[in-house]
Amino acid sequence: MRAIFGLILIIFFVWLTMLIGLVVIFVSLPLLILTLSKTIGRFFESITVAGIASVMVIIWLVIWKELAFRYFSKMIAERQ
Amino acid sequence: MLETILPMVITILIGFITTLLLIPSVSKFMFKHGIIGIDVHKLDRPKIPELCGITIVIGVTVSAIIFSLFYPEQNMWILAFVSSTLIAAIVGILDRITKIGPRLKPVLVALGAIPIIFLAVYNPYPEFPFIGATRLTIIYPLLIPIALAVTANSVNMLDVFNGSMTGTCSIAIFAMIICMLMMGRVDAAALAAGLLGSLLAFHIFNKYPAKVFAGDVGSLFIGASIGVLAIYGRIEVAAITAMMPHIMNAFYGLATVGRLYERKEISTRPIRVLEDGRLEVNKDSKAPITLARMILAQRPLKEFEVTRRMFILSAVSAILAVLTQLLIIWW
Repeated sequence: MRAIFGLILIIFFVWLTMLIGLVVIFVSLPLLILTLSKTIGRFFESITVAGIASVMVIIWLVIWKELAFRYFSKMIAERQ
Repeated sequence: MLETILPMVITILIGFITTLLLIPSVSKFMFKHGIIGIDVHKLDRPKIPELCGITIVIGVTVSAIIFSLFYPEQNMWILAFVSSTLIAAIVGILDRITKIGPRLKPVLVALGAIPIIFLAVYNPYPEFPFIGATRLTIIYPLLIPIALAVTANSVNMLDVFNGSMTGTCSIAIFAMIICMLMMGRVDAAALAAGLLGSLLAFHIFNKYPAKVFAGDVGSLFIGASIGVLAIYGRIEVAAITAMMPHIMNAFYGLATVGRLYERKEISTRPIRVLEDGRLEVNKDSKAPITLARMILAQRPLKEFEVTRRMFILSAVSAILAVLTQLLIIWW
């Protein structure tokens, strides 16, 4: 039962960080748009904003992966 | 009230009955023509008729046609739904015949986005919790092919144990229907109910010990359907949350192997069968880390016990999905 509880915690953590990540991305968007549209135009602004959002998502995925893999390694190590 | 419930009840029944009636004859046909798969998680490795997911494709398509009688104003969406999901189903059949490969398959499934984009039936103003409606007019259409490829392939990758895909997807779709009803999207809920009915009928035959396999045609179709329904129902974030076990499983595998892969091309299998029939995690570091491997990390389990744990994870994700939708409504 411990293994499933750990996975439930991971799911909850992922959900929570997803919501926080979405808020961070969308709160920073108007600020980015305001700054970028003045200097690089609307098309490049869209690409830059999408790029920054993608980087944020990648960071989130890396944290998510590390958490799960460490949990898995710990479970295996405990059995050995 | 009756106007709300009646289309849902009818589509769920049509999906359920059509699939239920088709499975025996389709499975016999597949077995007779040698379209079979080996159930590798059993000691006796039985031969099971494959590609039976075609019954889900027919069941859902028939229920979508019946749905159009209730909502004729949604005919463009029905056309988009049927054509997008059929593209995914065709990719599944082609993969069985010609072996498309792990890199090309998501690209071909992503082509299912074309009807949605060209018919312009999507709404590029998705709603997020704590943020509300957003304007993603440029990015949204670009995200549709990615969404379809991700949902289709993540569902496909969780089709590893008897009933694992059908059960977890049924739970996810049930949560999506609740979210759609909360948003007042009764039409989308009725369309999704057809998929749920069809999946429940298939689950009767696919649950442990499985008598039929859905094959790629079933899993890619279901995944693509979930993606299209999330767009149609405008419950994108809730759908991602409901699909968390599928996405987690796909992402972990992808992160370990470092590229898109087919289960068959992995030399070090993540799971091995013990002499008593229980499943044990493969401790080899080269084996991909999957959701099943994480569930089995603590101790060996029987196949249906692993599937049951997947259902628990799906149920938790379903609750979080409904909670996400509540946050969107409350904000």
